[in-house]
Amino acid sequence: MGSGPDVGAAELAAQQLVDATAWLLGREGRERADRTLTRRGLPHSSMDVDDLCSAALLRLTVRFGNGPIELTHGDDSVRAYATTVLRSLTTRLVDGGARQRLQELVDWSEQVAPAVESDDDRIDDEVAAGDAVDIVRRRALDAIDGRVQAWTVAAGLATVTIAAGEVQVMDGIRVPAREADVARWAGLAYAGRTDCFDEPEDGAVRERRAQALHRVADLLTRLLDPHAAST
Amino acid sequence: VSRVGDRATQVTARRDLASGELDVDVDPPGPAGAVTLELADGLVEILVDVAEPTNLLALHAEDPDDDRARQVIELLLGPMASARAARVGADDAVVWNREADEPETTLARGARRGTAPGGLGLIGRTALSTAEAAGPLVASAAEAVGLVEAGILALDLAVGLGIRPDPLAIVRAGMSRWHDLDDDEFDHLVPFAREIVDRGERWSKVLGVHDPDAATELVALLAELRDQLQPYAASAAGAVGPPGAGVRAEVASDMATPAAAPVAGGLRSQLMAVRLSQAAEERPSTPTIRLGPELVPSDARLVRTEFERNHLTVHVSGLPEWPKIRDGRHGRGIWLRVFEDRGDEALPLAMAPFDGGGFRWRTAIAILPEAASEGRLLVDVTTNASSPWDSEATHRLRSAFELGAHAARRTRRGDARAPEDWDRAADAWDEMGDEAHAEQARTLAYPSAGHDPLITDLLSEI
Repeated sequence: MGSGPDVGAAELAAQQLVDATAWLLGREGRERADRTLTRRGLPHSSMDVDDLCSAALLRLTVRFGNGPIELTHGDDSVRAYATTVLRSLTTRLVDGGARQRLQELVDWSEQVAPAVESDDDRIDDEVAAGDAVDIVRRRALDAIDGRVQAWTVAAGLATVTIAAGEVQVMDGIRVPAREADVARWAGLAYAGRTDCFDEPEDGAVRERRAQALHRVADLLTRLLDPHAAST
Repeated sequence: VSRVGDRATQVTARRDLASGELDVDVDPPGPAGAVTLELADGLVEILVDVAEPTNLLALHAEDPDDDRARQVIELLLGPMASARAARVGADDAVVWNREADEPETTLARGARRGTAPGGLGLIGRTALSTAEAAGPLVASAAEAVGLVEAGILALDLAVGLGIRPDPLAIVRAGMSRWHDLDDDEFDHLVPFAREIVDRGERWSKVLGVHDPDAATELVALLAELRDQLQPYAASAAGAVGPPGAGVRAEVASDMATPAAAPVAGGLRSQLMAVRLSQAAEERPSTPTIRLGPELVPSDARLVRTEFERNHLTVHVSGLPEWPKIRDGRHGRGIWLRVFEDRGDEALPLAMAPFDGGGFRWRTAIAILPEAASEGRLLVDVTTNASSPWDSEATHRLRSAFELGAHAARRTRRGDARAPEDWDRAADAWDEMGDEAHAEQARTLAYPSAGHDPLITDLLSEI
């Protein structure tokens, strides 16, 4: 996929995911999940433990898709990381994600410049190829943070759905003549960015739309190739 | 002397021998859940009870041997318990027992919990205020002023505590949003101008010690508000509106489509005006839609859904006006999210914002893949766009905590509806078979302490 990670890092990340999964679904991981729930006074039936382990597995899959973790605790690093994920997910159960939202509010900056060089044609090619659509969808929600706002992810999801050639956009959505841009423009509309289509369309509106399109392309590039977004 | 608060009877600790991380457990969260606060430059995380924020619930230290972490742990647990915690191994060990170590702080028989002085004090209030300012349903104006208050509280006790995010950054984030408020949003502050200005005088003094330029900026913001001063709104401290109703998450799909409902201008109007031209495909069922836990205490009600030509349209009434989408600015919005149930995962397919507030109905339209099958769709309405799809059990648990947090908010501001809200929370816990949390919730309905609202409590929407 694209420039991609170096093979060594990708293999290491894949192995770490295998190790983390084995630990999490094994006796020790499930006991840890049970203990984490118990310590917070939360229900900890077998089904509750299953839920927590499933959520942790999903997060680990996304995380290791971005590359390997640092081995700060030697051979125990993967287990320690998985334990941290269990704890953080349990904290979210009792705090509703407030800490993450606070960090997003503090980090938010309108001036954030795209950190990666997006390549619209490449995104189109990869989306048309098929697998990329699921990759984008699987990683999409985790991308929302202080720099990537929800509308960007909403636009990205709509863009890949339309670009994959699966559906027609609603009547009434304004799209450009250039076929290759239809999905991107419609993606903005479905994400509620009505300000990108204000009438009369002056230079400010066009500039706003161009910036919004750039942010969505940047997001898709990051989702398809997380290693390109290390900056 | 320990600052764990008056609820705990003992404190246990254990250390992960591989990572060196220390876990200290004091008490499980009450029926309103917990909030977290990072201390020691992020090396220590504490969990604080929402309904009784003088109570420390747990502490996690990434590197408890670091000097910054050690000082904070000693401050919170006291010298005796922290010294014992420094020596624990991989098994849980009791490091503090109230009767043995601090018998003088043991509550007399029959004494009410939450009435003893001390505990976390302002540390707990700071933790609570940071979480509330970032709450899922706060209005833009409340978010702005709430962040300033939270940052100031953190600044006031920041020396040596190493609070994260940086308290000055929290204040600046709040002032930046305050500057950005449009006229409608600013008007939200006006009924509470007296209270904000009064508090603001103290805030600017605290801020002046740390950042004189920022203090000058805050004084200017307060001066603008002072110009709008009007008598303090009686509703701020008393009963607000009619009593709230029960949880309303059911779908009333037989209600009329709000076709004539006004919607926001521009493209959104066009989207709503243009009815899909083709007839709806024959579909076996309409996907079940649920409200996010944070919306359960609200009056939100799912009215109708339509699935036509790969577009899912959802109409909802009673959604809170906040948070709003602000055209790509920092508003968070309320979202319709559609996932595909793949058995082992819920894959996000689409997200669509609900159109602007202020109307009876609000609508969201999501575009779905051709292959999307209604029977496999999982759909929710939420302000937490980034949260994963929760299992039913997790959703019920989160909803019960949110009902408790809502009741705690109203309790802090002295709202007459608070006891009723606690009853709703208790019922939710009862339905989950958790009698202990249900009983706690009923007890919390009648607090003995006076009201001490955060600024976000006064400005909260629901």
